[in-house]
Amino acid sequence: MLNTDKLIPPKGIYKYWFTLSKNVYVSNLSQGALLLYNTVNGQSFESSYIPFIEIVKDIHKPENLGIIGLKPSIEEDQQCWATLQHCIEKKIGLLINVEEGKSKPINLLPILSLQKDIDKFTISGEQDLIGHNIMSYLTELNIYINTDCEQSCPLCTNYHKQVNSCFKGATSTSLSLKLVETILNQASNSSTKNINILGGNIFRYSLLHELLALTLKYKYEYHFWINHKNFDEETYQKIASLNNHTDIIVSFPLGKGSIESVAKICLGNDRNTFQFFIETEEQYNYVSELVETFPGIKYHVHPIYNGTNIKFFEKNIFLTREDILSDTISMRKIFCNQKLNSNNFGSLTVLPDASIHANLNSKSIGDINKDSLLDCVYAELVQNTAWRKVRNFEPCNRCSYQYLCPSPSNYETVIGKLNLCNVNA
Amino acid sequence: MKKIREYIMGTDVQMFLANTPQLTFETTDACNLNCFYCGYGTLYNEYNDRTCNYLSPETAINFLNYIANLWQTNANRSTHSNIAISFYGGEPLMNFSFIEEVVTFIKRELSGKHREFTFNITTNAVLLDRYMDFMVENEFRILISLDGNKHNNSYRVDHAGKESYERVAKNINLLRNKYPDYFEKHVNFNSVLHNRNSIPVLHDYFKQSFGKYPSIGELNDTNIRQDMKEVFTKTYRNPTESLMQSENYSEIELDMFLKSPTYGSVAQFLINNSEFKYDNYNELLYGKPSIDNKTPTGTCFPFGRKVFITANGKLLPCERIGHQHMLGQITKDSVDIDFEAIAKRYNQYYAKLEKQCKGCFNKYGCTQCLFYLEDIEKDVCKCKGFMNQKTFEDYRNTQLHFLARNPEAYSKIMNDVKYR
Ligand code: SF4
Ligand code: SF4
Ligand code: SF4
Ligand code: SF4
Repeated sequence: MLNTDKLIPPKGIYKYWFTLSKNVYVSNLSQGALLLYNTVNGQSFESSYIPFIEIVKDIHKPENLGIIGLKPSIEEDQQCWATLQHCIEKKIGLLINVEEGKSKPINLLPILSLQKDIDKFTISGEQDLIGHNIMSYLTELNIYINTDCEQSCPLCTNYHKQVNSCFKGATSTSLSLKLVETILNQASNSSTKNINILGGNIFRYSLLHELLALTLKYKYEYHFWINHKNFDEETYQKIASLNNHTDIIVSFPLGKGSIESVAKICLGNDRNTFQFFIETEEQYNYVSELVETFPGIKYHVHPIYNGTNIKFFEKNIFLTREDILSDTISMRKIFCNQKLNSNNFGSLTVLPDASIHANLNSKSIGDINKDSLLDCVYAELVQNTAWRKVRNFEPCNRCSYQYLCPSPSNYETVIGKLNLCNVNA
Repeated sequence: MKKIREYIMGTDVQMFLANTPQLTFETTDACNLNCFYCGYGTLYNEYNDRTCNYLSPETAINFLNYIANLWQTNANRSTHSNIAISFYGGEPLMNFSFIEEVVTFIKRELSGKHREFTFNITTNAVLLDRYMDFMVENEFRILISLDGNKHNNSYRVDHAGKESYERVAKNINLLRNKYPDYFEKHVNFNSVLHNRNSIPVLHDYFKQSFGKYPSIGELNDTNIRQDMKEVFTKTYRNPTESLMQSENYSEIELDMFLKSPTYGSVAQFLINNSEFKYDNYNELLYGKPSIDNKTPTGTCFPFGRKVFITANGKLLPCERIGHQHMLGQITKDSVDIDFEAIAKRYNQYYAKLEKQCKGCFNKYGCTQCLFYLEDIEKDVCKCKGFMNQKTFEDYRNTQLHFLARNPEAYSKIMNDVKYR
């Protein structure tokens, strides 16, 4: 006795059905302007024309289920009509002729349904659902095994707050081998693949050989991080002979031994990566030339904020509209930006004093002497010191690019500016 | 012999067990009622030797200790998470001392060690008056089996053939009068649909009598005795058809929400098929797993959804499947589970269905349990639920049609429904 009559609109009211592509992300519906972004072809389109905004709002009302009827008079509003046409050209909107006697079509527009959404569990008072099967969220571990180093890089205490790097402590501490093994063992039931071993100067860790033996027992991809200034061929060869990765930090000013000689030793092993930390354009140019002389070299370049080079950041790092939209951003990526911080999510760092952090700019969430990695994953999911930090703060929360922009990074924290962009200066 | 694909391994099975969200104890297989349609009753082939077994608390405690030990190992991936302890029967209240001992043990020994506990019971309410204080004290979530008013409920009779309605209704009201807030929050109903009730009737009865809506169950259509097939057909009612017979089906759907067969079905369809549904943060970050890595059928992983412990200590993946599918055996001083053997067995089942599932248009949203497939133990097994493009389109259109009738359901389901 299904009655479908009421699904058919009364004759003659509507001329068109209008809808948006289900690939379109609509930003800031509540503000005076809106951005429509096609997540498949990367086309976007902004409008502040009120009647058009009203149409888009109506499409999103639950009772309209993604499609609204447009009366014949719509064609008289030239600006609105032109805007609709513009939408259609960009494959953002779709206009369908109403066929008499046929019921209104529906269109299931994007609504994220994240089943294990911690925010939802918290709101509904179902906190006991948060902690189920959470070890799979842990994907990366940074283990700082010591704080000793004989170098005195001027930015030593800055690097690691921005990127993966060594840093030296005020006092000499190291993580016991037993604790290292505890960590490796506990991580075995997580999704961890990469383990970064960092210091100080890890080559000075007194039990480095024993630690290397552990890398045979617990199967992960190990990355040993060493500043080029501390590079020593013999120790390097031991690490490399066990198929481990070596990540060589090149920070300025360069060390006495020539970087070229380190590069020569490391070249040809694709498990070695040079991590260049640059603060200026000159340094960038130097690095560009250097890598050209070593074809096949694997490297990454990381800008470093030194307190005085904000101009360098503004020029090279700050995002413009074009930067944000230069690659097509998928719907999943946008959902992801709404729910989690892709720079931080899944990563834990253990320091030589046994404290555990989800990010080195955030407070500790545990102590590996008494807390398990599982406890820390749970603590982070609940406390959210880093993993789920998203752009829900000023000024991003009133910007159309809020969730098109990448997750906030360490640079925002270190520079002390929450939006590193030229969009909302 | 052809090598079959290893979808799961023994260590996975152990991990599923260590993180299982529910333990259901068949407290006893004895029952003080003798419902006509009972799975142990005259309609069905005698699969399970039901001989008035009572599960001993020692056996349950032995198993609880075993699981609690798993929580201390690397197999455990959960913490602070809830584990539901469910008492099921037969009629569980016929072995009340078991319930009492197990609850006391859990509260005393296990609470707070990686898990929090909630207690559930499914009961026919015949003995509710005697034990309700204990259940209220321990915040049991009570699911009462009741098929509606006196006539609707008339298949639910005792061993002398006497109807249970009066006694059950009296007990429910007793509970409701003594603990009104509790009744509101923690008591729910479960009705079996048959030819003496209907969804509209159930909707009206429960709404008027208790301000609630029951979950609706169908009669189980597997293993019916050859000579009872006709009786079965006469007794059976299809939930959606039953709902659609009413003039007010729309109102009933909205009232009953996911308990309405149509609303429930569309929610399941969306949650299983929507490209905007993600299970967890890893799926958001790295993308959904490829369909090639999905295990065939819609069967839960062994122990992944729950562990059902029968009155004679057999371990099963749930209470809805035959005891021949047991996965392990426990006694008061032993736990016998061969994780490797279980993985191997499931991989063999998967291998039988792999090809069909690959070609099936419902593979993304499949909810077919392999244990419901009659030939699952034979060399060749055909799935009755297989969907070709046409049948899938029909199924899909039915769901979309529901959404066209109830447009607001889409955002409600996507925003609110958690599928467990
Ligand atoms: S090499 Fe690393 S740890 Fe040593 S001083 Fe330089 S930055 Fe600090
Ligand atoms: S204000 Fe925030 S969201 Fe907007 S462009 Fe800048 S960084 Fe991105
Ligand atoms: S019916 Fe099948 S899929 Fe469902 S819980 Fe039981 S074993 Fe798992
Ligand atoms: S319904 Fe389709 S996917 Fe599911 S078990 Fe049957 S054939 Fe496989």
